[in-house]
Amino acid sequence: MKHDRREFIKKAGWTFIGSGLYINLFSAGPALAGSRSSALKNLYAFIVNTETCIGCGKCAAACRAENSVPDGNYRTWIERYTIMHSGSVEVDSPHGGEKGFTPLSFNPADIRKSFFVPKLCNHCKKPNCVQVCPVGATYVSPEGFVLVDEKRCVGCSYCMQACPYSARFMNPVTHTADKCTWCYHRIRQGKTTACVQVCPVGARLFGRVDDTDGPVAQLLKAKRLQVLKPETGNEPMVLYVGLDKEVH
Amino acid sequence: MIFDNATRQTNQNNTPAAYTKRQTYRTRHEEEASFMKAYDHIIRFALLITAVIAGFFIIRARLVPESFGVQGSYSYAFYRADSADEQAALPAVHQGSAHCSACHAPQASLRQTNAHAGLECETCHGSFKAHNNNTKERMAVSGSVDACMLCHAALTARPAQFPQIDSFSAHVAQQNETLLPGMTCVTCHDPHAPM
Amino acid sequence: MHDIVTSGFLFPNDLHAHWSLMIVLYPYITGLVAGAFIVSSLYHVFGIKELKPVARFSLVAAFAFLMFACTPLLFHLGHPERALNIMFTPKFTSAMSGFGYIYNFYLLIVLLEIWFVYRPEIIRRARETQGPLKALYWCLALGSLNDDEASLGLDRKIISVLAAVGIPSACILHGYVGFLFGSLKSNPWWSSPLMPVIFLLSAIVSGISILIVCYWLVCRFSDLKLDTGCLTAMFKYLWGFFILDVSMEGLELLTHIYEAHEEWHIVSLMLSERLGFSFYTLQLGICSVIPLIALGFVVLKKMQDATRIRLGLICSVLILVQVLAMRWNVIVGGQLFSKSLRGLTSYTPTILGREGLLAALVLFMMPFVVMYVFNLILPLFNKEAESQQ
Ligand code: HEC
Ligand code: HEC
Ligand code: HEC
Ligand code: HEC
Repeated sequence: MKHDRREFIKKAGWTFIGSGLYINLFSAGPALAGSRSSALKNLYAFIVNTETCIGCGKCAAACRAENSVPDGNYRTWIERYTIMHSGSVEVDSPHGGEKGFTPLSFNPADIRKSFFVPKLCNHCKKPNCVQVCPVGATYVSPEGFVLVDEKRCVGCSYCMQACPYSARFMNPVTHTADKCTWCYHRIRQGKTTACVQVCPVGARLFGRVDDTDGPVAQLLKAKRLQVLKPETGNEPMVLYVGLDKEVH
Repeated sequence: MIFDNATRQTNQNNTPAAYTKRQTYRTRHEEEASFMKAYDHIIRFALLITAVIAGFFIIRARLVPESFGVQGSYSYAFYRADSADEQAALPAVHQGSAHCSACHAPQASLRQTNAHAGLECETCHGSFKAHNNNTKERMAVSGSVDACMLCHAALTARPAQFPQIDSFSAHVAQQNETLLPGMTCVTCHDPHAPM
Repeated sequence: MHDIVTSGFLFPNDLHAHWSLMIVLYPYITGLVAGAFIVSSLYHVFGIKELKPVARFSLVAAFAFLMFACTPLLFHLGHPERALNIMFTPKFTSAMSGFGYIYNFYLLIVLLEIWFVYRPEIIRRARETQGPLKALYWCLALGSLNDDEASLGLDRKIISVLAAVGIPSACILHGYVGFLFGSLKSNPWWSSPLMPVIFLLSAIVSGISILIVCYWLVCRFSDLKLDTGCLTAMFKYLWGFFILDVSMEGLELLTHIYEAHEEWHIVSLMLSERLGFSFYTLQLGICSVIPLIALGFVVLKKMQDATRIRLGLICSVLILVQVLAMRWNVIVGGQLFSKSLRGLTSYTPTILGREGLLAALVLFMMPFVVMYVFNLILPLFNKEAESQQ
């Protein structure tokens, strides 16, 4: 009798611990996976045309307004490359190019070429920043957008260290990681991104890759495109027209 | 119940056979006891650790949001699913030119066929958000020289085919005009239909 | 606030070093844990009898440092209140996510080992003391005051198993901290398979050094008699591990210089312009060369005990500085150049503030406070055993 009771308590204990473990460790995942999961497809791509960009900085300003980006931090910015006949390279980006650019003081005769390169989060297919997030606070959305969950982020800055493009920053207001979302909210609402919308010269293009009539798919077909730092293996989804070897 | 059991057991155990049985039982019990004694502190420690771990899982179950989990790929999609929807629900700040046209037909139609046709109203006027409480001042931009020069100042980095002017005074002189005080670009160009 | 000095072109988000002084302190303290634990294991597992006088102390030191190994991280996090997310929803593709579990596992092992080592002492005191003290010791013994030969023999067995399990755990804990940096392909100054090895070796030398310094200080300022044999043995191990440590650091630098990847241009510029003193002068120069040579003399040459101890002590302090400089040079250095590979920024820790020098200093003192309090409850050194020898 006594033995039986002990046996029972033992069994009950194990069942309790076992089921507890099971519920706790595994329930949240699979329960939801069915409803939300879809294989990552990277349906969208962003194309930047460095050959038409005029460096007006309207994109960076619009981004700040659209996403309440705190001063001193940049979800997108514009760099100006000036390559001299001597081979030396000068790069500048005052205020991230947000307030435009002023003429350079170099002797025009010394300049081989000069151009603007807008930068933003590359929404990589294999984002290093997502790989290193220890708490699952940054992720690739079903549409292929790399997003940050500001309610789970602990603010460890590991993702900022891991991003080869320095597209991430520590938001001084929320104290969490912050970055370009490709205006996820606007896309889900059927609009285009703020920066694409305000660009006066169409140097920025955003759209679905699988939409064969769309501008992105057309350009993908028509142009030879390059990505930034392909050697990192992150497989960026921001593609550049006219990228020079000097650009990192 | 327990009492009943105990008495029944003692009654039954009065036979000689049961007596020897009880003997062996006792020695085994003693053995067990000394064994238990040596392990006593270890068991206590183990219980303590188990309690801590169990406590951890109980707290964890309460604190992890329901929608958190693997949404497809573990490597890149282990997150709180609600987070994506929360972000999707953020209000859009820029509304697009079509939105402005409804109330500012003249500017909209002016713009349509002109050099600035490719420009959005909000590119120059800033986001519509400022317009929300209908304070027109916020939306208004000055027709200052700098506002136009942001795009039209001559820079080596700009594509050569983009219309650029070296400086305001040089440009005015080029048009065989005299630079008058108070003159800006909008004196000669309508910002919505510059050419 | 110090002004940030920049040169060249930086990506606009690269102006500030995200990982500050606290993140320098974190691997430093973690390293002391690993080193101290290795010393205790040398005695418990490898039977290095000379180390007996510091065997208990090294365990407690490991524990004390371990207790504060995480605190710098809490000071650094944007949301310290969410710190436990790392254990609630760990994502194991992240090198960082394992930390919570590895740390707690290791803490458990150290705690268990200390408990078993001190159990006879706790029980004796639970029997001898009265009132609240008795209650304290009774609680520490978990209410089980059994110290017969059977249970003590069992304890001894468990101790050696724990010490044996502890060695790989200590290596994992610290090698892991190195992996955290070494696995970041985005940073040319960190990304290196040698990083975990270097972190581990420097952890061991810093741990041995701090034990040497503490042991000497304790003997100096109490009536404990300094065991020269024990110190000499520690010098020996210190020298051995330090040779390995410095060679690995040298090899890594050499590989960087020789391979001269595209990024090396900016890294070398950063080293000479921003870390000239802390890298070349301190880490590679004074604090490596002097201990390497002087410890060689200490270990190999015949000399008076007093000289030997003095020289060895100086080397230990230099090595403590070397390892701290190494942590600084790796962690801060890796953030002083922009990922544009075209510009440098600067970082000067503030005095006050959450991540300032003062906070770091107070944090670093805490383990010693823990050791002091521990000593009030249970002795760090076994005086009776000492006098018997
Ligand atoms: C719901 C109708 C409505 C919409 C939509 C709207 N506006 Fe207005 N806007 C007004 C009214 C009304 C005024 C005030 C007119 C006045 O006082 O003369 C005004 C004033 C302005 C002014 C200042 C005019 C001045 O005389 O100083 C500007 C500039 C302006 N709007 C731009 C825009 C832009 C750009 C958009 C699109 C993003 C826009 N508006 C959309 C109704 C609208
Ligand atoms: C190239 C930049 C630019 C664009 C694009 C632009 N505006 Fe303007 N807009 C201006 C400037 C500059 C003024 C101020 C003119 C002045 O001071 O005389 C102005 C003035 C206005 C005014 C005040 C009334 C007036 O005509 O002076 C309204 C209303 C207005 N804009 C609406 C619009 C709308 C609607 C659009 C989009 C269809 C638009 N603007 C696009 C630059 C622009
Ligand atoms: C946001 C950038 C932007 C701003 C601000 C801007 N423009 Fe323009 N402007 C353009 C673009 C883009 C074109 C079209 C260029 C082309 O056709 O290649 C253009 C064309 C023009 C043209 C016609 C040039 C030609 O040769 O066809 C004139 C004139 C002009 N702008 C005047 C102005 C004036 C005046 C202002 C200030 C009120 C102004 N622009 C502000 C972007 C801008
Ligand atoms: C005095 C009147 C006047 C003022 C003021 C003026 N412009 Fe013009 N602008 C003209 C005329 C007239 C033309 C047409 C010239 C032509 O067709 O060759 C012109 C042409 C242009 C062009 C096209 C030039 C090209 O080479 O394609 C641009 C761009 C332009 N203006 C921008 C500006 C800007 C920006 C300002 C203010 C800084 C400005 N203008 C001020 C009268 C003016």
